Amino acid sequence: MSNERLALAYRKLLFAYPQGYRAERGDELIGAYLEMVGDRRRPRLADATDLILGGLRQRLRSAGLAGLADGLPIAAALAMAAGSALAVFFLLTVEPGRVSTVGWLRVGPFATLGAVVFVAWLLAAVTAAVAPGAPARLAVAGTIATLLVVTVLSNKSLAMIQAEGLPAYIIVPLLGLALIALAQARDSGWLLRLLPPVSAITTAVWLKVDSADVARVAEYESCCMASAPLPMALTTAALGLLLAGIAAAIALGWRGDQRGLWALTILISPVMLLESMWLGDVEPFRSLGSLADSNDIHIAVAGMSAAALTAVVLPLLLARLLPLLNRRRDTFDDPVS
Amino acid sequence: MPQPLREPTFLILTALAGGPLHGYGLIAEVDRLSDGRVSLRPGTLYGALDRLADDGHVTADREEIVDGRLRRYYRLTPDGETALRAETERMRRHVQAATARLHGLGTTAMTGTVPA
Repeated sequence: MSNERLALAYRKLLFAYPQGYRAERGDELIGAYLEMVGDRRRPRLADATDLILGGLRQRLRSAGLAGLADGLPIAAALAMAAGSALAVFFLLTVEPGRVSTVGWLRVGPFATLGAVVFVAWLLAAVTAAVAPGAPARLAVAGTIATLLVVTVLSNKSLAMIQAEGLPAYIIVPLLGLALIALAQARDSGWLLRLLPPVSAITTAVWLKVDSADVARVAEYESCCMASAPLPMALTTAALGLLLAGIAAAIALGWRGDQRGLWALTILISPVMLLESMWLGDVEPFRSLGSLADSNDIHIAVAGMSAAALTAVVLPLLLARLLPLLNRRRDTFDDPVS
Repeated sequence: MPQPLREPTFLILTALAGGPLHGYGLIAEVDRLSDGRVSLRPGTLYGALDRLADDGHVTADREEIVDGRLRRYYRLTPDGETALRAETERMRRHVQAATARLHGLGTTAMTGTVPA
């Protein structure tokens, strides 16, 4: 590939940047890439990822939301920890049980194909602890792919194989958590790296101690009764995620570091997804969810609507409020001005 | 209290402390300063430069065209120099504390006693 064609290939990869930024800095970015890559024939996957993520960061910056990118690694570790706790819960409660549907495939020692997703999630959590950065992101991407494949394979209307999968009200929050967990940072500290394994071990110990509740869980239920163990597990995960986010916001905010506040803002959306089963009875999410005829899908649509709303409105509110708060603090710090 | 700088940011400011540099020059200098451990790509570098410019730590210095390619040079501002000095001092205190403790460990290992 000639130099011009290589430059053109890099220029196409600038599509994620805002138009104004492309016009102002596009030549400079491409020039830096051409100098860096020497006589390479075409852009690599890592180059494309770099430019697409760079473009998305630039769009966030344009909207005053650059802090979201800073809070993402903390949110990723907390989302990974919540998902790890859920994976252990389902693996130790539902999965060793018998599936009531006669003639359906059992997956090794487990009852449903969902077990494959949970094992993949725990492997990703271990990867994030021992090899943060790209290997951890790859492991999380693998978990997302596993979740999607299991969802398609076990979809009863497609009936590709006769194996039980996961209900929508569990698939959707898991997908939300995994998408945030994708942002595993290379330079995460030990605290963030150890959170997911610690959360998984704590859940296993808790289940061992509270074995009476475990025995009551036979299979993935249709959604939802307030006292049922599975919805309660999702609610506990949501509450844990929310409290951990608030703790991070306070602990870091105390030192003038806003990353925790941004992480909390990001985490409100998966909290909403985990609480889908209760939002299904709340307007306007009930009306949106009622477009679906299945109860599970109704719940999932209600949760996704709420999460989509919080993912847009909360960051925009924070982007407007933070500069005002900082201005007030500067005024207090400097009484002369 | 100012937030500690992340390693790539610290290395970018350190690279610019030597004088104005353009994008690829900065990538090469950060690579050299970190012994190849921190390898920035242009998308990441320009994101970091934009943030540093927003904070008033770096600014554009001049532009030139070399082999038909645009090179824009960046330089450290006085605020950037202050931030780099503060971070260097913070790290120096940590290194000093760790060195003193390690020296104590060495003394303990040789004599079998805890130094007073």
